[in-house]
Formats: sequence, structure tokens, C-alpha cells
Amino acid sequence: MLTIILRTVIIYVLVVFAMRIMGKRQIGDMQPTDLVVTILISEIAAIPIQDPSNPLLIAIISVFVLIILEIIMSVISMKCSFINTLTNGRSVIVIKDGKIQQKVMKKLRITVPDLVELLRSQGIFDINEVAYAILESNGSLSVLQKNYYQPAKAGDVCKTDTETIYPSLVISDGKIIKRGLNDLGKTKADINRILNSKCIEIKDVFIMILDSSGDSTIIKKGEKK
Amino acid sequence: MKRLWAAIVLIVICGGVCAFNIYYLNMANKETLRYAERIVSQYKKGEYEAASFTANELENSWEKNEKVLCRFLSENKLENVRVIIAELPNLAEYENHEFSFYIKKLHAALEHITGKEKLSIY
Repeated sequence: MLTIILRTVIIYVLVVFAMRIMGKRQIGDMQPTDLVVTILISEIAAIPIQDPSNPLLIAIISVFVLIILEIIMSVISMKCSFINTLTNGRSVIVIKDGKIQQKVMKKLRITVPDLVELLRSQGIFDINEVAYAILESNGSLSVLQKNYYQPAKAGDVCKTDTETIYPSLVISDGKIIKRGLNDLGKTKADINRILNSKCIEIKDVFIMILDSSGDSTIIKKGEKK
Repeated sequence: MKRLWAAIVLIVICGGVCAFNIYYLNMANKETLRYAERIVSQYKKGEYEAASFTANELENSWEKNEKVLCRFLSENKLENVRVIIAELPNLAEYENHEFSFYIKKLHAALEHITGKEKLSIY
């Protein structure tokens, strides 16, 4: 029993390591190759846990080999578009100029209810609103609405482009988030200056959000916002 | 680039483990066969007690090797060899007619293990 617990812990660490090393692509949008690797890793990882007579090393080496293959394939795909298309497929236009591409849909074996469902997941309930719909290689649908139905942007009202303000979390639960400071190009001294001007100490801050224009939002510990 | 380096490190680790596995398996195999030959020759000469003593030595040596081999190979496969080797001291000492049969079984079991480790797509 103890062996199984120990093996489970090792496999857990190994699979987390494998997912991290394969990159964020693996978690968010899965391409066919990513999906294959993920399924294989989960299967292989389970073997030594289910059957203790199987050596743990076999699972470790197999997972390592899958990581190697995944990295090599992603590098090759990046360099060679032909291989990329071959392994991951390509995106396909299913609605063009507001017209459903019936031949393409037949080829992809997608029914109209499937398409309508995908559109609904994008917040579009009327197929007439769509100018272009593209089925991406990871199975998600990208939609470009007809001009009339597109939501208004700030640019439609204000013709001059203003600076985009980027907010970043710089203090969380009394601790400075260095990455947040780096993103804004600020230092700890800048934070201290802002807090001193408001007579607040860092340890009393629950959340502090600073943006690139210098504006800050501070929520003190025990304070409701 | 960082991921490529990680892949290279993993290739080296996998290669190293596989090479060590093959090396150790061959070494354990040769050692076991050497012992088996010695036991057979002592048995043929009628030195049954000496054959039994060597068989005990073989048992100890296999036990030691098995501790390393079980990290690469399934325990069920190794258990077959262990069971056969455990029978040899008694069979040799009491001149049992099954002695040569067990020696053949030992050869077959070892061949099975090494054969499975050879590169094959079947």
C-alpha cells in the first residue's frame, strides 16, 4: 500500500513536470498531437500505480520519451508548415460572406445543429449575424460578425488613439508581487511612495492594483470593496 | 530553446538508463549461465554437494542482481528465474532426475528475459 502511495506521488510530480515542460499550449488549446500525448501520458502513468509488479522506471522513461517526441514535433512543426498541417490540420472556413459552406461542412462531418451550438458558445444566437466563421485546427470556432452586428468600439467614437492602460496586481495579501512591478517597470520604492502618501503600510494592504498611467486601487485588509 | 535543451537532457537520461539496463541484464545473464555451467559440470562429475553449494551461491548472486533488475523488468518475469534457481540446490544435492530439466528451464527463462529486451516491433 505504501508503495502505491509513493508511486502515485512520484507519478503526480512526473506528470505535472511533463505538462509544464511541454508548455502552455498543452493545457489551453489542444492540437491533435497534444491530445495524443496527453492521452498516452495518462495511460502510461496509471500502469505502475495499478500494477505494482511493473517497474516505475518504465513509466518514467515512457513519459520522458513522449515529452521528447512532443518537443521535437513542435520544433519541426514550427520550422516546417507542411509538417504542421500534416500533424495538426488547418483551419477551415465554414461560413463565408454569410453563406454556409455546405460542401466543407459535409467534408468535416459537422451538422448545422453542431455549427449553431458552436456559434452560441461564441455568444451568437442568429446565424444571419455571421460574416465569416472559421473552424480552427483545435476544434474551436472563430467568428467575424457582419459590420452591422459588431459591437461598438471606443475607436468608433473617439478617432484619436489614446494610450492603452495596463493594470497589474502589485500587492497581494501584504506581499509585493515582483512580476507585477516588473510588468509596469516600477520599483518597490514607487509602491512605498504611493502608500506613504496615503499613510498605509504594505502589510496592511490586501490588494493593490497599479496601472501604467500611475493610478492605483488599494483595498486594505478587512475592508470591503 | 530552453525546451530543446530539456529534450536533449531527457534523451541523454533515457539513453543512459536503456544502456545500463541492457548492460546489467547481459552481465547478470552471463553470470547466471557461468554458475549454471559450473553446477552442471560438478553434477556430472558426481560432486553433488559441491554442485549444491554452487547452486546456493547462484541463488545469492541472482538475489543481488534481481534487486537491480526489478527496476527495469516486470517482477513476474524475474520471479520465474528465482523459482527455478531456488530449486537447484536440493535437486543437485539429492541427485534428482529433474535436475537437467530445471537447468534447461533456467536457460529458457533467461533467454526469454533477454529476448524481450531486444529491439523489436512485434
